[in-house]
Amino acid sequence: MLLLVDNETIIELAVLVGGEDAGRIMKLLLKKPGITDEELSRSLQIEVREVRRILHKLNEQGILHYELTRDKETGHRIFKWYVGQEQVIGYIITNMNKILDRLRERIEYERSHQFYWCGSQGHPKLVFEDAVEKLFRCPTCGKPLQPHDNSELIQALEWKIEQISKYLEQLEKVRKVEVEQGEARKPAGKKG
Amino acid sequence: MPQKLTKLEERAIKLLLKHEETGLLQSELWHKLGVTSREGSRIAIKLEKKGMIKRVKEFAKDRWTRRLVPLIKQVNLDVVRGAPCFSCEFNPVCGREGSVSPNTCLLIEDWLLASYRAYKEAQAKARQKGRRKG
Repeated sequence: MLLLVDNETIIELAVLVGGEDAGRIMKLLLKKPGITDEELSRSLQIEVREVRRILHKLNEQGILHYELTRDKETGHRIFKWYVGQEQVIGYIITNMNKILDRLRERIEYERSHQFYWCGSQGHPKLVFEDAVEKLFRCPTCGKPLQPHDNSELIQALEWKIEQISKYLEQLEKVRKVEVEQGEARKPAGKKG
Repeated sequence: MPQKLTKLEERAIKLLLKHEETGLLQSELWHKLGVTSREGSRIAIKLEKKGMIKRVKEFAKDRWTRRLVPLIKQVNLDVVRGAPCFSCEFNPVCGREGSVSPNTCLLIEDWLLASYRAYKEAQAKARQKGRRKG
């Protein structure tokens, strides 16, 4: 078993992490692995500074890596950029796990508190202690706070937690097989 | 794709990934790819050698044939599509041990409620369709 990620997903991820220009950069990088920041800048008509900022952001997240060489004549450093399938898969799985942890934390919080809300979208829902402190007035608009039923949010959390957990379990199963197959191949390789 | 594939092999894998659980009979795949059975068998054998599929013997349509089952799984963002976390500046510090808590995050709440409502709506529509057919 093998885990794969297609180019559309890699581009979608780049857009999520670095914005629309990151998506354009990623698209070209997938077509031309080893392209330099200056070549990217010329081809996409994006300022080289901005290209470098995006590339380093994606590199910090572990989605891209580079190879450093030097120009023989000028001595300037040249960064050649690459996308790693495994790096991208690792990034997606790590972040899915992080999101799952956050949702588990949130559901505990939602289940164990009573909330008060003014009813206006975007305004905070306060727990009882905070509502008392604010004399049951919304800190944003000043309207009176009413008890808020959070059962729909709890249902949504339960649904999403189950969905992400199941998906991660499937990926983990495949990953285990991948590791086992890799290890099974190692000694055979040495013998040969 | 980690291994080098020809365009036709890549198309075959993409088609097979749409039938991740059950795979496809090889004749069905050749038909979808628009290739001859001879050409198709060659592709299947190559993909099996690369460890990307398994060819399982099966008796179907009055003859022995092979079912092609993918041994790969595509990673995608479906279950977290729309989540605000990927582009959030607090992503690295949000969580139980971080300095920011997801408990009061309105963006997470909006994402969850919107996707849950869309899911419920799709479910209701599917049920309605089912009733009409019934």
